[in-house]
Amino acid sequence: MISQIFREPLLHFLLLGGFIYWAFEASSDDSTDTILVDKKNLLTFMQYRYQAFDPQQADKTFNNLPPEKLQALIKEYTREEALYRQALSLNLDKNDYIIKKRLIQKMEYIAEDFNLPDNADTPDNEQTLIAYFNGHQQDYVQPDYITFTHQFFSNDSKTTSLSAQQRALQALDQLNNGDSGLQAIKQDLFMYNRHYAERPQSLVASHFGDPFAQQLFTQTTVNEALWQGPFESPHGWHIVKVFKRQPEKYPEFAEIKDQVKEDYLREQLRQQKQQSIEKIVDQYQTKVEL
Amino acid sequence: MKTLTSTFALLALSSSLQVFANEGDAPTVLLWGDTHLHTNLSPDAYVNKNTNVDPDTAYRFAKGLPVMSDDTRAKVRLHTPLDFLAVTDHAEYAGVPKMLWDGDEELSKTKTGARYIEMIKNGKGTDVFFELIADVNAAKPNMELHSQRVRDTVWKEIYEAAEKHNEPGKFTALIGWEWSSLPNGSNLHRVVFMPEDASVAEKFTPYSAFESDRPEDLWNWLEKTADETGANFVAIPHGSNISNDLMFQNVDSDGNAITKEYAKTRIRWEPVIEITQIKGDSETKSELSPEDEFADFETYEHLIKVGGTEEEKEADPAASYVRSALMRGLEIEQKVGINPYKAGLVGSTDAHTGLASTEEDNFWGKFSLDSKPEGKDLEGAPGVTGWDMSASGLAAVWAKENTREAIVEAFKRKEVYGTSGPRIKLRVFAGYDFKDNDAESADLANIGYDKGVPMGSDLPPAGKRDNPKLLIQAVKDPIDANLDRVQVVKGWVDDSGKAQEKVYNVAWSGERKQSSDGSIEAVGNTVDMDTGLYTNDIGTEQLTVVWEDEDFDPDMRAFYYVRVLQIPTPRHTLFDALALGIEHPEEYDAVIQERAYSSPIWYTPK
Repeated sequence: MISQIFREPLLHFLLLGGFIYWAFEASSDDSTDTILVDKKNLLTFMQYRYQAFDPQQADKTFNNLPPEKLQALIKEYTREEALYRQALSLNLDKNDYIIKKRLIQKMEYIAEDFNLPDNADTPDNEQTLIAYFNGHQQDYVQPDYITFTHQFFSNDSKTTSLSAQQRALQALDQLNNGDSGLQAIKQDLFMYNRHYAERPQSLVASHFGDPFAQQLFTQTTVNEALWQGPFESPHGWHIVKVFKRQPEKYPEFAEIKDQVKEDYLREQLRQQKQQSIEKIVDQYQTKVEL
Repeated sequence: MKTLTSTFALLALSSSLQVFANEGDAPTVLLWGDTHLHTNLSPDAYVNKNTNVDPDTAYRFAKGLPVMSDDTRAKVRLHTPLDFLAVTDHAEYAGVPKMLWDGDEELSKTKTGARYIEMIKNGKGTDVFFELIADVNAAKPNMELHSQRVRDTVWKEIYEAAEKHNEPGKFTALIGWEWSSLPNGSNLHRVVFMPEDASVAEKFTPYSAFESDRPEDLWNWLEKTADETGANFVAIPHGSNISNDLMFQNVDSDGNAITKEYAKTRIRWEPVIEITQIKGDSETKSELSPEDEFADFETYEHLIKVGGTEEEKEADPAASYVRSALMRGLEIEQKVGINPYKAGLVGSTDAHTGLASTEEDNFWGKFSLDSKPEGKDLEGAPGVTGWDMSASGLAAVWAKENTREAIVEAFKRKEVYGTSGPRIKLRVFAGYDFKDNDAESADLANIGYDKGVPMGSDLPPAGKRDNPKLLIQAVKDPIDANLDRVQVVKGWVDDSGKAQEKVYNVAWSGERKQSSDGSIEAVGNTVDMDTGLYTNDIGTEQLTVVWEDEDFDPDMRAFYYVRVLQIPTPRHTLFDALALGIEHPEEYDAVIQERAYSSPIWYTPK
């Protein structure tokens, strides 16, 4: 029983925290107006500051501090300590919601921190995972993708008096109704790609802007023989040919089993965290007087 | 027409996965990746708080999936996924700390393993780490920890994660590791990767600095192992800025002048150099390039020293920087006939968080330790904090398609380039016949290949006295800042056999006039120091140009590489300072001009 208690990580943390607190308390008196700057106080300050409680490492770092860094540390420590004591003497810590919130956060942090993955359950069988997957299908939806090519007509073209939109319309007509082929089309240099294979709307939007991407995904049909458009982007006008559009899709369990397993474990962790906080809450009785 | 014909020829060959085997407008497509990433298997990553992000998680993050960062345990995700990744953990004690801290059963049966595990249980983990580091620095492994069993177990985990995540055509996972030679704290590290799969990887154990810390021995091993297993290795030296002037010397490891044989071997295995990464940029500094107003970018010169004394030696700063190495290479070539430093350039992260992040506003640190604002003050390495780190860099590859083979082929032919993080698209071709309007042609890339050679190549002698021309296209990252200017950096060997350098401004945004000395006024700065926001009101989205070298002398060997500068944007530390509610520390830049470096194109006289 005793050994069980000593394996409880929360207790370790509290002991450790208690020890540091004691060390802190023992060497400084919050109520005087003399701020004692000694190595012990500075070491404690450093460790709190960086939230890294490793006395050996702190000691080593401290011993190797160049003089100017040591000076800076002393200055920061003194400033913090002075303001802190002044605040205490003004009773600023009493009935302060921010301080209350901070203490709650600290408690939550402790509760979370000691539920790291080693405590997590591994799913005993695939059925557990499949059940989890069925309940969370929405999380695994794969976004729609498009495969297309485009011809580009720049707003800045210097070689013609026709507008980019007019040139795009002309090209569209020539390509769909004429017989001269792509060779006859004088398109312009486009910054990014001419062809896009299986790309999500977000990428298309980053290259062509949001309105273009939206039109491409919603106002075109998949047809390898048909040029469509023209559509406007911040760069100019484009005509497009859409080869493939893969609509939003729900993958099968087998395709993403590993990911499901990882998410399941993460969910377990989250629940454990929740439980450990509930355990603390359960230690208290609630009396409602409305 | 030619473009579409070739694309549709590829289309006919393609699987249902891909309609276009090649998305580009030319024979090559632009792929972005990181060739240098550490996970919780690297000992220094593990003790700096990356205990959970393993190779599998690293690949998931690179593919754009949300994962949990270590230490902060926040959900993290890249704004734009990568196309390829090589997980390259330190071969020295790879996985050993993780196994010790997990209380590995087999290790607990060894004398040292049992002692360490006991120490860890008793809260003396830091001491264990110091003992491990001492072994690494002394290059004297404890053979119980550096045993064949341990090495094979960890190697298997590494290559199996790559196998799992490699999806030809969609995402490439390269199998690799890092050879971490550190004689007297001088960083001579190389990452090594290959295009082959697990069936080749299982035939060898990664060569570590415990076997030897001499690069010559690494190359011998690569040669022998390539012959035995068919592995087509690429080794990439990096961190020359912290090599203590040893990376690009005029001499070999024994201090003898570089010979033809040395030059030939070195450039065979090391076709590409990593020019920029989290531990700083290695292009050049003003001491070496006093005329270059954009030198001293993200300079970082903190040697990895853990005790020990440094030998007194003559300073040779040119051996620590890449531009000077490219220049030195020309001089050596003039003497021995082969250029040992005729290398392409890439960037990569060297992150130890398992998270290949280079976006300034989404940077997850060098170590997990400095991944959160409060950790920026902590020392991840002696005397170095998170403020010193740079959110850099990426490797860009012009490959035929997104497969292991095509990517490694591109590294071998040096058709690759590096950036300090943004995905600036950069095409560079050299030739004699480019016309000015080729820079505006819709077929720019095809013209480049037809009438010239791409970055990483040799420009053949003209046969007539025409000046070489560079055809350049630089395009901003679709979700990042505009571009300021494009520059050509030229290096050449003069009559006395001494290498010289010059930086030319060749294209820039707006109506800025060029001064008689060639300089251009600064583009301006829109960064709001109180919010970390900037606007794209200055700069431009795209710069294209045909530039002619009017200073050309056909009798002098030379190289040209292109440097593209972004407009000023917030450095990652500005976001941390804002998050912490403190003034940005004065000794660090809060605003930077990110950049892209093309691989050079070389000219050799007849």
